Amino acid sequence: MNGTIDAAILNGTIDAAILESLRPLGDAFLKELFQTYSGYAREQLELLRGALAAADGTAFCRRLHALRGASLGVGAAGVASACRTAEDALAFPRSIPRRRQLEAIESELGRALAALAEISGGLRP
Amino acid sequence: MNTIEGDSNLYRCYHCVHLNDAARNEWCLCTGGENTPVCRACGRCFCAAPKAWRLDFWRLATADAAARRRDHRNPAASPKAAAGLPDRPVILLIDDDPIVHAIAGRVLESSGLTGTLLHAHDGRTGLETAQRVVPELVLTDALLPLLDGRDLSRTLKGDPRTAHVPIVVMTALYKGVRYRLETLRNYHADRFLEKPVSAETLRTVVAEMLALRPAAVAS
Repeated sequence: MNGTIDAAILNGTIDAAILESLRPLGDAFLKELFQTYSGYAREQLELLRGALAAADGTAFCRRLHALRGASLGVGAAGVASACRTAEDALAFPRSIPRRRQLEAIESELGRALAALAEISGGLRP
Repeated sequence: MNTIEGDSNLYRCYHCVHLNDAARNEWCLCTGGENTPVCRACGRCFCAAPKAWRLDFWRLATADAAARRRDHRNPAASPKAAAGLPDRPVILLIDDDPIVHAIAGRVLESSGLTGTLLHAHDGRTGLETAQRVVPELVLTDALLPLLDGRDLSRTLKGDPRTAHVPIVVMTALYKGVRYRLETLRNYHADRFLEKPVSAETLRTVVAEMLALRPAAVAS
């Protein structure tokens, strides 16, 4: 692994254990999986932006949950954690989503996608 | 159009744009649909794709893909497929997360599963599929669009036709002992798994749940 990926693991962006559990499924599959995650996560981010603009807490929470689940699956621990923090903040009582919650997720997602792209680059085609 | 590329069985999923090989994919069992390949990444068939997309797909489809479609639709050519009877054992995976579908599909494929993995993306479709097909195992997310996975479990367990079907509820939301007990006792699920479910755990649980059919999963 290179320094970028090591740093992503050390700072909690990537869950090394999840990544290792996925490796036996094959390099080609992992590349596809990261691509699928990238597309899905961006889609959920757009929906989160829409929910934020509409001040729709219920839709915002639903999208947070969807993004968290997918992030857990690929080992994007930082995104999952940011989603969880936002979910917890919105849950009791159900309140209006805040821009800073979305910004935290955007920031984590940027880091996660960069790290996954690095990992993907090191996999066999 | 994101359909078949050149003279091959390759096509891009209309939903997630994953590049698929129609000759290798599972085919759906949608009622009222036209029976179409299921994307290996997101688990979606394209029965619900825009009509223009579907027409384009079949217009460009190779002879192999067209023949396979005929097999699914023509009882004389393939009575089992056309009657909606998949190879057994059938595992029904219900989740709205494409990552779960992709990983589960790959894990079960690499485990040597000889049956069929069916995909559903919301609770209502999952329930209807389970009632129609009566699978050997249901793997369901807890929080689903249209119908909660735990309510789906209770409905299937309360129906004499499906009461024997093992149900595994997976969740990233309802965590902890309280929810585990509630899911097992009140919703009658057979197993409760917290997400993320590792490949190894999934493989083990599926093997355990299909234990009455040991030939289904290679050790």
